[in-house]
Amino acid sequence: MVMRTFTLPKGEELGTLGLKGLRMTLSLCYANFLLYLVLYITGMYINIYITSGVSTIGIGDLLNIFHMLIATLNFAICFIVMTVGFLYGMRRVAFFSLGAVVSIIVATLGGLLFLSSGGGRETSSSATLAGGWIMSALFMLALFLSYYATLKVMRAVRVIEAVGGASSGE
Amino acid sequence: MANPSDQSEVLSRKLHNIFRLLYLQFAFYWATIAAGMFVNYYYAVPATVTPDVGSIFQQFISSVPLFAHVSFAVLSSGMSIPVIILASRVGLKQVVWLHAGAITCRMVGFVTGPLFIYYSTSAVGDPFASNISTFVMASVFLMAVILSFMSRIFIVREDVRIKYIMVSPPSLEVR
Repeated sequence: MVMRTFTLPKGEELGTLGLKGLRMTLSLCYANFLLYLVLYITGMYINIYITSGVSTIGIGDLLNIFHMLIATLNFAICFIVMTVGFLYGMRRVAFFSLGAVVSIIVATLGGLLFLSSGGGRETSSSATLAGGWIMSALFMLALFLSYYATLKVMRAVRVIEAVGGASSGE
Repeated sequence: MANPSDQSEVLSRKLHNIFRLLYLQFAFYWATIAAGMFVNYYYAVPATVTPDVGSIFQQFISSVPLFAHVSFAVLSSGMSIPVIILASRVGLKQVVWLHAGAITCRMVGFVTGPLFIYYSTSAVGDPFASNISTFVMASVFLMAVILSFMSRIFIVREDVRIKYIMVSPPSLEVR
């Protein structure tokens, strides 16, 4: 026979969203990771195969439009998760997501600087290189911050499930 | 036999040590990509580099961003070793395998990195192979990050399990 002892969740940020809402937020977070993956792959492809040589990329390039579209969706999801965190009493989720949102904004500005000042590496100015570096480094920072927000949501789901199991006599 | 609550306390402490190591590892991952991107944008293989092991490894010391990139890559990969040791002690097999996978991915990166310099030297000058090496290096880095990310999910699950659903031994056995 399995004996279980239940403790009240001290120091846990469960929020007021409820299990269903948290699960939906978690699904959104997982979808966001797919977007991060697509952003990384398209970004690396552009970086290695388009802008590494004498070629440049412009804002109207199809691959760039796709990359920017994915970045916009990525921003939207981070913003939604941040709002959920602020509205439903999950401070850590809110602040990690806020960090991700700010990082994505700065990364986008870096990307725009990269595009507007040349859009290539070999035929570029120092502004192009700085823009490219800011875009890449801040993208990665956003990925890590989103990950921590996701972990906090996942933990809240798990804790509620565990404690809920106690009340239902599981 | 030790009290289950004492055992869970010990387990919890070990899991928190893994958490700390993972925070450090993720910081090193970020530093690796930040330095890597600095190399990507600001470093060009000098014409003096010859396609031999000595000359290529000399580059890792003579170029500051390259040295930083390689150092952070080694540190971030190395962090998986204590994680594997601690995870095996608490019986988290998935974490052990995920970090073993992450280290393997990074090993591929440690081969393709020097290959990038080799194919970029003026003597060899093969941009196709150089691009492939860079793409493989970037891909395996991402794979290592994903595997490390996944490991933390299992650790959170275990932490919640021992804190809120204390199952009687032997499943809580501490080695």
